[in-house]
Amino acid sequence: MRILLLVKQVPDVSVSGMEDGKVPRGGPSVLNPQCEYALDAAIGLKEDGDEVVAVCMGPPSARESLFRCLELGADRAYHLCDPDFAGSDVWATAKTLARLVTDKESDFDYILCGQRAADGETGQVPSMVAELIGIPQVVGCYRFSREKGSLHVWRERSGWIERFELEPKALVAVEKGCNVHRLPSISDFLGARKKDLMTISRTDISIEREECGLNGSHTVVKKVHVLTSSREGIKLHLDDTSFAIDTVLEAVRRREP
Amino acid sequence: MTRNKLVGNKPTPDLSKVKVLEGNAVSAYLQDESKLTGFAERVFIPCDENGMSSVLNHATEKKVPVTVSARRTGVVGGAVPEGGWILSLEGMDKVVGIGEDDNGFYIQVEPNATLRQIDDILRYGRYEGLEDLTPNAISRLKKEGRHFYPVDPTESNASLGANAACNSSGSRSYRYGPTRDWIRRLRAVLADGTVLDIQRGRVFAENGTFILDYDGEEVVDIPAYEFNSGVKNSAGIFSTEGMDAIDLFIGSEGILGAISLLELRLIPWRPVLSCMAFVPDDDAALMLIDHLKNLDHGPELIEFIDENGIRMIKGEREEGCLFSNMPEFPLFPAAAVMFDFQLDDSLEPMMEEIGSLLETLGSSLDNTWCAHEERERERFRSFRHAIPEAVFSYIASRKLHHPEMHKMGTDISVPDESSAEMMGYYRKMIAASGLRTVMFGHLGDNHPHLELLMEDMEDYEKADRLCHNLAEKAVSLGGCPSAEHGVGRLKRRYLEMMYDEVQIQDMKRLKRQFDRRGVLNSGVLLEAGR
Ligand SMILES: Cc1cc2nc3c(=O)[nH]c(=O)nc-3n(C[C@H](O)[C@H](O)[C@H](O)COP(=O)(O)OP(=O)(O)OC[C@H]3O[C@@H](n4cnc5c(N)ncnc54)[C@H](O)[C@@H]3O)c2cc1C
Repeated sequence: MRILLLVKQVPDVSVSGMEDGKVPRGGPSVLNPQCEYALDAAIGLKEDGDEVVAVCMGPPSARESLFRCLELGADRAYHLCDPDFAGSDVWATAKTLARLVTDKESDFDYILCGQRAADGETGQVPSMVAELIGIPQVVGCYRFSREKGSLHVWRERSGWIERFELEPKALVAVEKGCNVHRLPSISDFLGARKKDLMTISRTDISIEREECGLNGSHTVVKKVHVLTSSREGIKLHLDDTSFAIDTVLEAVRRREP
Repeated sequence: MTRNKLVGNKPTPDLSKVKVLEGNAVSAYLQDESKLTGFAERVFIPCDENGMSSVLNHATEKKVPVTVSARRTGVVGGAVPEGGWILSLEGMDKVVGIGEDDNGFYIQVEPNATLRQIDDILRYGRYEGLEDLTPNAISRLKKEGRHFYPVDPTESNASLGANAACNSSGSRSYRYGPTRDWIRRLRAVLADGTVLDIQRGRVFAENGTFILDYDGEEVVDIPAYEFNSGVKNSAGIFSTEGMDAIDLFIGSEGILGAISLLELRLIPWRPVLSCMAFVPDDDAALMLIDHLKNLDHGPELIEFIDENGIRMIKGEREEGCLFSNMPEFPLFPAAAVMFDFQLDDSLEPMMEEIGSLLETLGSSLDNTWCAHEERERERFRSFRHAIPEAVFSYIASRKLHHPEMHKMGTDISVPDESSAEMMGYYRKMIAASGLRTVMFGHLGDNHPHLELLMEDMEDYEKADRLCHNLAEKAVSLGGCPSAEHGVGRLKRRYLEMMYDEVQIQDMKRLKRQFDRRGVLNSGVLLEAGR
């Protein structure tokens, strides 16, 4: 089984904190927490003879995050690193990642990735990658197992637990996992240094300059602000249903223009 | 000007901007982390050096003892008042700016700024609001890349002023030395309010004296002994032939002057690999440490956690409070050795060598955690920090039943050649006492902390005797019973072990020359009074 693992490096908000809802750049970076869950899932699924290939698009510092994947059990890695990729929005990112997959690693069985990145928080990239490659996707997963060559994944939706059986060539976005991050051993560290971590620039894959980076991005961030609710909540006592309904109706009526 | 002249300057006293607390408000200032409790009449909170000077001048005139109080994380009761007034430095916690000279960059801070504050600025490049102390220093520093201040006492919320006053050290002192080595300049306020501004490399003792020039000249005699710098040592006033005047105020625990400003040297940061090796027992750990110390390109730090310490951590984690973000240990029962190496070409061959040694010790590189990302290294750091915290919280819980009990632990360093003998003595004496202990800390510098986990006052008596015997043994081996925490009020008797009567009189004479009425931190380091 060959698993592709799409990961992102993000600013470490646990140490640098947030400023007005914005994530400060220039501080320390880490492997995106949900990507760390995806990494754990991929390594957990891996059996003898399998291969886990990590892929990350990002500035030179993103090598650190790929290195962490290699230390913790990934076998090879691709680092999409090129000034032409800088400034990518979700669409350009998904396109670049998808192009790497179809050009270089089309022989995969499953793609695992984090559900969303702690900095952008959009959660769009996994679905876009799946669509661009043309494979099915299950997002929001938290549990994984292997049964007879196919992958079983679990997710929670509105209080229900859904379980999917996925034939090869599917994408799974991971939302939850274990918060106790593993620590690599020195053997893992030395081993990772010998693994293949390939840098890929734009011309190594079939993507034009206009399709990626800032050029290929359609979204523009005009303003970032923290949403605060200005409305007061209302309290409902559910032991008296008809009174509760009246309260809600009254509240709705009061808000009419 | 003579090379040994210290020129002072006395601002006009002005207490108008100094905040004063009385009554119940004082009670928050009566303890430090030793849990020793004192008493005081008033707390003065200046917001600048002038305020500090005015308070001290006022105290000298009224002959009232003053205790300098910073962040009260001290563990020897140095900030605990024995009556009189408290000079709290909480209003002076700014990081002022960055400068550059021939030796590189430096950072200027007010006394109550913390290690954490400067670490935050340097690590994340948060220079907004800082001054350029020399032209374009900040933009030059940004250009040169990340720098750091290498002294790393475990308690990063302690004040840098107190770090200087106590000559604090940390795990990286193994490679970089204690606070003393990193102070470029300081300003100190003497008991009568006189302010001295001393830059390293400018004023040196001549024939064992300095000339203090304010209100006429006065000759100040430095103690005649040679301060023991062969081991980590934070006990007593520094003194050596031709010493730099700045060193009088570093490590003298505020009895000669209160530090009002500091400049600390910075050096370029290089990436390191933090490692934590688990080995089957304490003996194996000691062998590994010996090996690490003898490497050509040795580590930045060498820290030890004994089997009891690892067991305590595991217990705490299973109860779900502390250490919950630590994965399962790769080996248990075990002792652990932490060491940091620079990430360069020498790393790989060195690790192979360490790997073979670990195999002979019943472990391996597989059982050695490592971390290079900032966040992961931070986890190691908090892991180390959590051991003294767990001990503090245990003692606090026993204190509920035995109010007279306070934390008891050692802070003993010995020279390299006596390290094995001292370790044998620890074991013999601990076994004989029957007490529960945890040992951890800076074994690279032959400076472990032994913490006593006492149940009751009977244990407390035993622990007290044990610590005394250990300290005597260390002194007989050329070591120091107060390697980094200072003497404060609780360890004065250790001073008497290390210095003879004449030497102590020398210190007292020097103290009197700086503080005629004996008001400043009286009872700290030296007995109060004449
Ligand atoms: C969990 C824990 C871990 C620790 N780890 C370490 C360690 O690794 N290494 C180490 O060396 N220490 C360590 N300590 C001890 C302590 O943090 C240091 O001694 C520190 O320097 C005290 O700083 P503070 O601001 O809390 O000083 P305080 O406790 O307020 O004062 C300490 C002494 O310094 C004097 N003083 C304070 N400020 C000034 C000033 N500006 N001028 C003159 N005198 C002054 C006070 O009068 C007092 O005598 C630790 C303590 C704790 C609780």
